[in-house]
Amino acid sequence: MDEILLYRRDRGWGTRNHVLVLPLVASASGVARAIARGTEAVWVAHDYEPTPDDLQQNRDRIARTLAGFAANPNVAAALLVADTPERSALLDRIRAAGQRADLVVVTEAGGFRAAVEQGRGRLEALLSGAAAARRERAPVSALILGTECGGSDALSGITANPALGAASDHLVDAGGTVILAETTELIGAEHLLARRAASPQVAEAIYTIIHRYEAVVRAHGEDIRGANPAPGNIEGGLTTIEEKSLGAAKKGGTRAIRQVVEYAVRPAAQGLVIMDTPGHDIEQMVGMVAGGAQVAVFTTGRGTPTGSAIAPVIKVATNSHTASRMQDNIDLNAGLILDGTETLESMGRRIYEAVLAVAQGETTKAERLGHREFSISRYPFAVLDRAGAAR
Amino acid sequence: MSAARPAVLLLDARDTAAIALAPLQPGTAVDVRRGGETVRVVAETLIPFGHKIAVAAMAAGAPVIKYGEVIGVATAEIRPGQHVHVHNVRSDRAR
Amino acid sequence: MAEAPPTFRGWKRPDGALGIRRHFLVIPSVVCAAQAARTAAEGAPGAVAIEHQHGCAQLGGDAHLTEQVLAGLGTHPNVAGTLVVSLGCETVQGAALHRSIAGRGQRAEFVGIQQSGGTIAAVAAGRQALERLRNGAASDPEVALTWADLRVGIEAGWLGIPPAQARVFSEVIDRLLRAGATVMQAVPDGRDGPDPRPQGARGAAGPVPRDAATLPYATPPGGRGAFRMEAPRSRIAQKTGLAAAGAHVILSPLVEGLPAGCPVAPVVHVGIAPHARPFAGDVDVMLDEIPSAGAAAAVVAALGRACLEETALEALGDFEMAIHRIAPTM
Repeated sequence: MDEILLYRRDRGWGTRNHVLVLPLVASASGVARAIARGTEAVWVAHDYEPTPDDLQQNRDRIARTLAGFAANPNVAAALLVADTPERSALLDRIRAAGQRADLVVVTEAGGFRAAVEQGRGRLEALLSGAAAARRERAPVSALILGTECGGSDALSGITANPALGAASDHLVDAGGTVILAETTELIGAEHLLARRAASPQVAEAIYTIIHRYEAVVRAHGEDIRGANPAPGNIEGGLTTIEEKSLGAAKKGGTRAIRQVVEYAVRPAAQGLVIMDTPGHDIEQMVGMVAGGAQVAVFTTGRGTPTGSAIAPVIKVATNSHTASRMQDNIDLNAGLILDGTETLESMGRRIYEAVLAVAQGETTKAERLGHREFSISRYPFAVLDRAGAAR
Repeated sequence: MSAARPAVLLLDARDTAAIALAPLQPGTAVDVRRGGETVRVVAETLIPFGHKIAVAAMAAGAPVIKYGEVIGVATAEIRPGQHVHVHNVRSDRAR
Repeated sequence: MAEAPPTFRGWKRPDGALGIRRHFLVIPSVVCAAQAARTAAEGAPGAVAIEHQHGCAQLGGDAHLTEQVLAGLGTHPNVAGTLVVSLGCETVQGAALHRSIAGRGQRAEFVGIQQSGGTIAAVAAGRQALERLRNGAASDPEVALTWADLRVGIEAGWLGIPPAQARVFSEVIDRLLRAGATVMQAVPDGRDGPDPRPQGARGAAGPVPRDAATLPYATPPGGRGAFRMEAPRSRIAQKTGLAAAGAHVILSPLVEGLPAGCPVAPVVHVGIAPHARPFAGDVDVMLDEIPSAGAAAAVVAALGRACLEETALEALGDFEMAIHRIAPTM
């Protein structure tokens, strides 16, 4: 199958046709919620609040995440909710990316209630504009697939991640793009990844982003254990970050790595790319979706229900026990590989076919349950900048 | 559990630990194909599902190998059949 | 002639704490459990689910601070019972959080998503747990409280409150202290940048005396009186920290940004003109550029009203939460 049915936008192809209400600051979350309530629009909340001591690198990181999320091709139109008029720069940026967007500024609207009323009016216009969209024939290569693992156990690196890797290879071979992320969960596997880099620059970038996170941990005088591996990973049999990473890296399959991008940056290359994100499940998903991922596969050993407000997330369990216990939240069971009823190859095929089906409208459990987790990664490297400046 | 599924899984011939695909009660003997030969190890304590059982001896300070790669360092002497996990292995990274 | 001091309807908790609300707090120990927490709370009388972005992939000290804040909210005197909803694999372990809250004498329940077998089962178990908490809390005796039983948290206003309006806050704090209330003033860490307030306004929004004891972020005071609390610049994180320290009610000078509520404590917004003019309908008191003579009394009265009855923001179910971060996520 090299053609699938997607929504055509100026800035790419979408697997969904959402209208998004997006608060630009934490205190606007309540207004966003009130505007979206009872409508077909989706909305998210977050806890980012700009303060005078906020670093420029942090503001940039947050801004590009919000802009990328709002401009994702799965979003037909976005209504931004801001506290003050200064935020309108983000509206311009989102429109410049080719996205249909509008803005409500609470102070200009005249307070909370007035902002909700104004927001409802503007949202209605965006909703009726989006209603006309229809799917068209699109190349499979239009897909950017986000890959993630969470609640990992020892089986993650044996069943679900390698099967996802096989699916990843299929998509890359079809001309699509696959994002491998969670940099802290690549610590210990970097040499294997660097070997597959398409160029020396990409190889160097792989080492750089991984060593950078290690340096952050050391600079904070902390031990990464507890954060990574997490207690659930350890209960599930993963002993060290290296062991977890060797299993995590398998999500990326076997194809060459074309590019390394920063958090929430859209890949310029097609094929397999690495995005620098933390291992925090939600921050990672948001980063990939802000970078243009229209669909994601999320493997899990212990089980996790999370999704994304604007991109369908396919949950793949590593083992039949979790797949059955958490069947309300799990879409596919890679534990069948261990049970002998599927091979790595056949499971990889199944995941790939699920990606195509979901991209064309089949819903996932996380979608049906309305999961809309949203969390923005803050700039993590200030401690290194300060140490560098002090030298 | 089907008879076709082995009790443990060794991912690479160089690995010093294998993964239990079912909980192994203490005293359970398992045969592991490692390189060209079969190694028999006896679980010294309970090895939970997904956890590692040593298939080769490791001295304190020796690397622990899984996936054919170093996943950590033994913090004490480890005998074949012992549970290999956070109590006797430490990471080499990110501390 | 002195008026009788105002009294507020309150409840006495099993651990002896006195509160002015009867919230049943649903705390997800990790961001991944927030949806299940929210759904379990929906429609449950008195249930308030909080939402945060933490609990996953946090480094030691940062994870510890998150747990401390969540435990502080879970044991808040305005909370009649707490349900912890855990995923199971998270850095900030839900089971440990539940034990910590229960160990401090709070009525507490626990639900684990992985343990229950998914979110649908967890939500059902959560609803039953909330019912048990409600039934248990029915025995909390009603008591009449005065200012002397209450802690008032005061947010800082870093953009600088002009001197005339700042004096009103000083007077408010004096009145509260004279009435016997305990006051906690959030003080942003001065190290992270120059103080943008004009010289004459320094000390404004910080009228608690310099020799008052300083509390670390989100730490309850050991006794009564006036305290300063270390806090970040984020106003929402200040509210959360004051609440975690046991503030029954929070005073928020609205000098910048939007009004925002708090899950466990009513927030009284004092609009600082001219910035807050657009929020005239949303704030509880508007302070003109030249405040009226009765302004401080009006603010204290608004605080009293918020202790007595549900505020507009509470009725809307509108509040925000943010936990101070001391390290990046991993």
